[in-house]
Amino acid sequence: MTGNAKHISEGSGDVWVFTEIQDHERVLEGALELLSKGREIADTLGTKLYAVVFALDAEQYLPVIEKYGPDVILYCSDRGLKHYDSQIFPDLYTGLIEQYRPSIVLFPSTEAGADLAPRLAQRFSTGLTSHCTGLSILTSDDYKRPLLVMQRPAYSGNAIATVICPHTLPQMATVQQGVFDKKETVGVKTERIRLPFTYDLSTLRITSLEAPVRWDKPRVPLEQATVVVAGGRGLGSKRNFDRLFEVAEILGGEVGATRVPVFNNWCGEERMIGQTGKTIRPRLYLGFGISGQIQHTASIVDSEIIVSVNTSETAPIVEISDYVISEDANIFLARLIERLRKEKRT
Amino acid sequence: MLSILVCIKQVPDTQKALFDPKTGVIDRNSADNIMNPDDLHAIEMALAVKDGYGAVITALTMGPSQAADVLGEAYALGVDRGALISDPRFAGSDSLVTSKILSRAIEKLGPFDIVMTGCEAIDGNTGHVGFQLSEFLHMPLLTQIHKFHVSSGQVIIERLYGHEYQKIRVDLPVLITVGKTANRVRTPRLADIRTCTDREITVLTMEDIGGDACEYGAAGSPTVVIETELFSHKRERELFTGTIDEKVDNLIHKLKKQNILRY
Amino acid sequence: MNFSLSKSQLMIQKSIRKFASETLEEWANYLDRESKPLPPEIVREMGRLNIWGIQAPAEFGGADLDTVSYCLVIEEISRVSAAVGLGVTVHNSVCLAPLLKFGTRDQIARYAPDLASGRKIGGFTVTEPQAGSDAASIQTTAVADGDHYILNGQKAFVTNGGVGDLFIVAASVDRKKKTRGIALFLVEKSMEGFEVGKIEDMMGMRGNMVSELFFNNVRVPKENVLGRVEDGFRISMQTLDIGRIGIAAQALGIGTAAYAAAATYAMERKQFDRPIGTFQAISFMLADMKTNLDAARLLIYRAADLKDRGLPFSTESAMCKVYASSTAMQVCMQALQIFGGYGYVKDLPVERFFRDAKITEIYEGTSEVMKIIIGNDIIKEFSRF
Repeated sequence: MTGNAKHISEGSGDVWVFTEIQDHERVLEGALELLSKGREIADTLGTKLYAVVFALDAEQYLPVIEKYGPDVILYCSDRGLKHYDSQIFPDLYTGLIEQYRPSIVLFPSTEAGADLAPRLAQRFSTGLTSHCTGLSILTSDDYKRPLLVMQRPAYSGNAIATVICPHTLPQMATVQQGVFDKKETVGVKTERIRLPFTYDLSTLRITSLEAPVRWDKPRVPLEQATVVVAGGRGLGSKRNFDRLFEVAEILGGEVGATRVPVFNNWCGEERMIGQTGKTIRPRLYLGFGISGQIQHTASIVDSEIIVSVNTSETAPIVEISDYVISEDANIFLARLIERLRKEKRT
Repeated sequence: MLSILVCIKQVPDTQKALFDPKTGVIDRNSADNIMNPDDLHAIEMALAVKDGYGAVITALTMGPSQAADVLGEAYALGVDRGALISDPRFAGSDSLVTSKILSRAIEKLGPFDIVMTGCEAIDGNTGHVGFQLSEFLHMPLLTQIHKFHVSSGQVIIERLYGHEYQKIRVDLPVLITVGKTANRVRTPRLADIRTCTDREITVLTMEDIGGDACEYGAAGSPTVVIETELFSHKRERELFTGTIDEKVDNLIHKLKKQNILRY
Repeated sequence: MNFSLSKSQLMIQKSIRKFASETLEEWANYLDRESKPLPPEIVREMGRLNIWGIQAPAEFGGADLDTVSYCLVIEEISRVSAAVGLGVTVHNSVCLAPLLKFGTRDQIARYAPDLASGRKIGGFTVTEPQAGSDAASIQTTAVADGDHYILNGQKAFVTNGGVGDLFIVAASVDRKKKTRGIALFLVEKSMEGFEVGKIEDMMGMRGNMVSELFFNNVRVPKENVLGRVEDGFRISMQTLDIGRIGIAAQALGIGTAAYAAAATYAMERKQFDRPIGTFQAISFMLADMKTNLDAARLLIYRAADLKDRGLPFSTESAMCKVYASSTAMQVCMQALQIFGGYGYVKDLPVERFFRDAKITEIYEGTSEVMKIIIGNDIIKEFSRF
């Protein structure tokens, strides 16, 4: 049961990128970023960069991918590849990795990448480092071959760990989107290799059923929300405050407030952040019309990203903000909602 | 009666812990040990299944002997059995080796209809274990579950996966990972807290789960941490410039880069 | 002598702290502003958690906890809402506890399961408009009539009065016998002639429906006399000894909340370029607060420990009550001072802590009565005769 691991003893030195297709529409930005970095790494090593593309119709994406200079594109088109699948993709990749023996495989840190990478790492009994914020190459006499050096956050972001995978292959990493920049490369002659799709779909254990069209989003308590959209005195009225709900909806978050909206009955007490201590730790905190009294700011300071929208550039909340937007909160809100609606439609 | 196994982990409270500024390693004396938050939600999901359908729940954890504290917390919440995998030869295991150890213990204690784990631990932050257990145990993995229904050897779940709302059917046995947004963890009854420290814990060592010492611990781990550095959070205070529309665009661009706004 | 909490006591403290913060906190202001009781669904959830039967035996659905654990539960709840903490401790320690200690098997079987689960809420009443500290001078009468006693009279300042289902009521069977003529009766609100009077509009503890109770020819069956007819006063005194430990824990909770808020604020609020907590005037205040709260805590745990070991604890109970309540009052005043203007506005809970703290020096035996008890003990101890 737990045996049957495959081992790669000698790698080709090549760098592979899981070139994920998003929503059957476009190549994932994160994948293009990884191809850019992968090109750089392959050049350092003097080896090849491969882009691996699975989709319903993979050919339509190849021209975009070629702009980023892969030496080879391995691609496969089939109805069965329309969505990422936890059985099909790992099985196909396993066969390809066994055949081509890449030394490095990079994945964007998406739902698909976060599923595919650990499964492949298990099958090859090799190392995987996730949410990498840095990649480089280390050449040292201590090790037989140049190694991929991976940096990633640990202890909930309180530390950065530097990791290597010295004895097994391939070396695998998932990378957070936005870590590397996209960079097109000219002058690379890309070889396109089309792969046939031969997969027994009857072995799939997960069956998709007809999903109900409407669904109720679970209301998550503020302390557990990943995104919090908060409003304060600067919004001025309940009608303005209510706009926060649409932003929260689109970003998949919850609405919070300082004491002014609560005491003015623009919203319920359960949305109040600060005071006697509802502390939140979302990935994103957006504060609209909030100046940042101590009681409130002390309770949001552990948020990963803090954005403040406030007419005053010297409001206390600016001290703890990552992005400071000096605009009238109501006007900004209106424009933001307009843009978000447009994003949602396209 | 369904049999459920929940993997839980004792972790230092990273929010409150202090770090050695030179090595970046956590000072384990400065922080309380707590149950990994996602794992509490996994236990809550198991308890919800027990409430709805009837089940026997086993909590399983791996660590030194004080890791048994999380089994006490699990008992207080309402699990039926507790097991601790503890062996000095397992120390220093990375996520792959941890998954291997857990899977062998699960095979020894099982079979189970449902295996549950938390999505991610707040100390390692890899999020690998659920997926790798799925490979070791050859069980399909279901994540981000919103609605859950069990009947005659099958599970039907609904979930929001990316932009898509899905309804999925799978035959048992299945593996499920649970995150913080899945549910609200119940408060344990005072009567159960009183008795939880007396409940029996099965201890498993390397002899019980099999294998060789070279497969486990740091020696068996393919990834090697060569350096850990303290990371100080300094806020950027990046002031956006331009017209209001340019600022809106910039914000949206940043949110996409951070993977908060999906394309 | 081990001054640390045990593993399960720490778990209890952590768990109730979390519950109070996640579930009670958002109601605390509302209950105080509107003078309304806890909504039924929260009362029910507290029942599920055994909060209405903290020390009751498991066979009645209680958690059977030791008294220190009990104090931890009351303290953590009172930190968030003193009014809720009051309701819980009165129900547990001066209604359910004397029932379990002095009741017949039949009385316990009839009432304990409902009380321990929170399906019924309990209270205890001696005080009348004309009888406070002078408990023996109560005028509510109980006249024997065949299988019943007929109760007539009026009670004042009854905690849980407006929501309670079962009350232990002190009434005089024979006024000539003074204290020996006082009996305790288990009175259900459904009994004919029982009436809830006005709900008091109070300075603090406004989330508790403290009220008057009227008894108009209420027929109470003889099976509902708690203990023997002549033991009512004695049982009351022992009951209050138990109750005072809980009240002290409640006061400790209020004081700790005020102190924690003040200390946090003092390190965030900057004046003259530094946190005000770094100025000696403030840090000395905080030092006093911390020391006195800790002393109160130790007095409470010591009284609790004596009680659990079956040793006499009346004096120690009085000591912890008088000390914890006066400490709470002092701490709240200093905390308000540290908050300055912000402490005076209703936006912040500091002024509520202050309003809630005062009554702890008055109910379940005023501080003066506590000193009488302690004083009498000293006289006995040091008397040569």
